[in-house]
Amino acid sequence: MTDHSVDEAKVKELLELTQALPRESEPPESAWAEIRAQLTERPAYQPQRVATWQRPAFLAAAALLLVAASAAVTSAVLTRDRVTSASVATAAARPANGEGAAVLAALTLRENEYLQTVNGLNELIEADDSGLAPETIRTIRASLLVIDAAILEVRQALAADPANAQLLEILEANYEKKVDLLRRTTEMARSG
Amino acid sequence: MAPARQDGRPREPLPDLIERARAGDTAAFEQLYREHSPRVFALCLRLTGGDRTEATALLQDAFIGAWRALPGFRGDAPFTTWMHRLTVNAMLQNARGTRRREARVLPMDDTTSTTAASRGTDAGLLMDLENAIARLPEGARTAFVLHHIEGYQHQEIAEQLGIAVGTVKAQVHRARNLLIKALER
Repeated sequence: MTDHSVDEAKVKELLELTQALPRESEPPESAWAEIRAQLTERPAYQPQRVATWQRPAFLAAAALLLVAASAAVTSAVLTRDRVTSASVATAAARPANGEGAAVLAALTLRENEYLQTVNGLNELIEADDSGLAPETIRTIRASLLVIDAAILEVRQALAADPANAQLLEILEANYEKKVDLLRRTTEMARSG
Repeated sequence: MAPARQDGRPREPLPDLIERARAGDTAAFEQLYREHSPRVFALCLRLTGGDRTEATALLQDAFIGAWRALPGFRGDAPFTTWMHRLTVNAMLQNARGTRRREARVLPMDDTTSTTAASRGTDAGLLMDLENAIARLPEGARTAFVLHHIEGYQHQEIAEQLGIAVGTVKAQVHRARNLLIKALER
């Protein structure tokens, strides 16, 4: 028998033994009482999506991620399109139909809110740390870049056709995708 | 017919329990806890190297986290899997904060006395293995427990721990070698 096959036999033996390990263990009875005490402190159901952006834990984690991962692309969007109060006026002056203008105005306001949140996060980055592993941050960074590229592309299309409701929907969907990615990441960082 | 619980009452279907707990019903959440905590606690014990105090704290963190995160539970994965992920996440968060467990973990050379003491029976051998797992370096222990005991794929572990798949494989390999050495003593 070769050394290799001896090793394989040992590993096999180890894994068989591992499979026999108990899968359950009763926790101390007192454990539930402490959990129960925590449950009364907050309601379980918190479905507010917008509020999620404003939670401190979200802001802290998103600060690191947003600034580190998508600052360059977001900056390009900001520089190119100047999403400020001035752009709201510009958007309103565009030759959009009534419905399109209303949607665009609503989106611009929401986009401003989103970008203000991003700017606010800039202040947190120096002091905070999401605690995420570098590999995770790299993966998220890559995903954010893809989403940011899509946002940029749609915004360019919107510049040519500001009343296009479908483009507006796509833009908003991309923002939501980005927020969703950050939300999931934050949940992972927060609970994990 | 729904299987009976230990107290003789019929067991409520899991989706109903989850839905009620999601809506804020703490009694439903307690039932979820009663049914799932032994499995989660076993994981906690192994992830914390057998420290019952720390394992209990981890269990509590995981279930409190579950209560808070339940509104986001969409049922894409089984509840047990979701709970295990929360537990690992809670463990990672704690580890990042203090790294206190690393100081407590004994090098594998120190396992001789505990492994030799309980030799002779299958139960003793299992205890040896449990002790040896507890004394693995943290990274190797986590990878081994998740892969060989909890059945996670390397890729899943890598994603959850935020490390490369190759690193996970290396940690599992290292753990196996250390365990074999420990059990041979």
